[in-house]
Amino acid sequence: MSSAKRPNGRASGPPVGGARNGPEGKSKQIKLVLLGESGVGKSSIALRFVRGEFNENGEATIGAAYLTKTINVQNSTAIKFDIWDTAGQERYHSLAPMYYRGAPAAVVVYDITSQTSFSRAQAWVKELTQQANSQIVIALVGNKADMASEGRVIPTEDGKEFASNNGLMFTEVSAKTGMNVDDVFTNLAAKIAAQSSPESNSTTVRPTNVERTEKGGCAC
Amino acid sequence: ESSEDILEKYRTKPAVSAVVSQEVPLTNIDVTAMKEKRMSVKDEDIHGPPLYDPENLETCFAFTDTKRKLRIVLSNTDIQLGYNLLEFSPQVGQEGVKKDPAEIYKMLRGQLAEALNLQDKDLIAQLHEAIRCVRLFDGEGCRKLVRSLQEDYQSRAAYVSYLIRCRQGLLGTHSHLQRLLSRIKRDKEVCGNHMTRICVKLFIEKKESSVVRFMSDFNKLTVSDEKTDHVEQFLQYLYQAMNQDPVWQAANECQIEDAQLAIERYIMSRIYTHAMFPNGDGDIMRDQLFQEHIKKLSNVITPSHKDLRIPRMYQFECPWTAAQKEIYMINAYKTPKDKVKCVFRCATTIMNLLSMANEKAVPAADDFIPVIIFVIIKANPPCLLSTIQYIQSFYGNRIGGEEQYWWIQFCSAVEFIKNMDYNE
Repeated sequence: MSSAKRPNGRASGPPVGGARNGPEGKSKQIKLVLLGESGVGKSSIALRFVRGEFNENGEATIGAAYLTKTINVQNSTAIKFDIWDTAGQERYHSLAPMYYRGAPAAVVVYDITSQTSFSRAQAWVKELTQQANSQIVIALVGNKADMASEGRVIPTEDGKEFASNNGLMFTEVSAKTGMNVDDVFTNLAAKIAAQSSPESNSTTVRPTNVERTEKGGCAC
Repeated sequence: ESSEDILEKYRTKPAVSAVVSQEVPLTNIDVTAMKEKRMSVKDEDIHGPPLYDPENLETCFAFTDTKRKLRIVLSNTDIQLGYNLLEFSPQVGQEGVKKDPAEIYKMLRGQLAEALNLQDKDLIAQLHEAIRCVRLFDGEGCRKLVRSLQEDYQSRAAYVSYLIRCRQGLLGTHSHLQRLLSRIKRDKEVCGNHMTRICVKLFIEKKESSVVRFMSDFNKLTVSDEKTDHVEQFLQYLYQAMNQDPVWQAANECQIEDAQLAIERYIMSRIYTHAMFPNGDGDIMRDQLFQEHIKKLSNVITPSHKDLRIPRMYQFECPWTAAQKEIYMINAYKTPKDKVKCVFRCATTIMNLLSMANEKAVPAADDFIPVIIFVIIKANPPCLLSTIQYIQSFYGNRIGGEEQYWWIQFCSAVEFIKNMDYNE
């Protein structure tokens, strides 16, 4: 029984690289939201990144809703990603601002074999640029690249063009094979580190601080 | 044969080897001593049995010595060797060694190369020594050596399997004891917590006058930020006072932490009604209305409801009773921290149940949200809106990490329920 292995039911990944007691406390906690239509494989990408596995072989995991992983960027800063998965169904769309509020990073995922998922991703990007934290770093990710030969609907150029028009990072990945998955996150981490290093101790990348000031409003 | 029989067999064994070692008194002494001895034996052949005796090959000192060294080396090398030996042994019985008497020698060289590569100093030394000894023997000698090792190994097979079974048993006992130990640890923790709580109670009783003053001040405040600050200041004051209290001088960090938690619980329970319902009846009315709303929803909601559409594979655990029980308890907790923990437990219970439903799929937010909405509607705990407000104002700036994630999930589920209608 899968649940017996982890009776405490923690959904996060194992602590990687010791972020909390990391080198000289230089680790930075970054809240990252995953957005995209239901079924595009948002959580598979996160799971692949955090655990290096794809759930096809039935590996027991309690959940992929909240995951964490620390990675090191070139200038020896550690970035600890708090990865927040969000519900992708259209009917829960209105709840999204509660999740991306104050997030310094977002990964918007679509499925290269689905036109609707790409349209949804474009809508997400628009919404984020209008409503989220203005400093937010967005990566547009086309998943299921392993199925490109059989079922590609969205040409790579379309994704690339939309990304460059909106100042996003762009990658096509496959959560199934693991192709490019790590790149998405390492590139994001590098950009965030570069963004925040000139003004050291910048508070824009500290999700908790931003959260603090704005959260009162959502209660009722 | 029973394990007792096997044991019996081996109980007699040491006696036999003792006889052998009497013949060869140095068997158990370390290698250097042996070398010295051998040197001296060379010089004074008359005094003992010959070191290397082709006539009585299998009883001479060199034979038993080499065999023992081989055993040490073979047991020290990695698990790969087991299969090497298997590969090697069939040849021994047949033509293998005849064709190439250096087969065993080759294998040892291979091991040595690996050990050198791994910089395993001890193993390197042992392998060198073993190779040196093996070199003493010709093809026939090598074959006898290997056969003798094989026979030893086979005769030990029963014992080895007995040992494996013993180990299994011991592992079982070990894990049982571990569980007992964790139970005892838990008991100890509970007792410790209880004692801390009693001490806190005594401590607070001494401070009763300032608690009363704090409460009346608190009740006069209207702005929620001021209330939060006021509570925070008073708690800090109490923590400070506790540090100076003689009873707490000997307390360790853990106990202090528990005590602070207990103080917070106590204080929050004293101001609970005012903190929870800052607008008095207005808040209570609002909560009741919301509860009524959920009650009506509860009559029409099903896992396949248009607003949920929970996939069939996740419906078998419906109605997720364990999670409902967790969230229903939320009003039993008084501090915001305990309430958030309650939400956290409810969420992780749901995730656990979801992950039990399907071994292949890993549940994520897409699967979680509809289920928690369903759970909240069915459990319908009272005072939901006030609870959320209470936590936002008294815990909002301290919440973080995974706790925060599940908390936001919970809030967004409640937010969604607010806008649901009663159509099926």
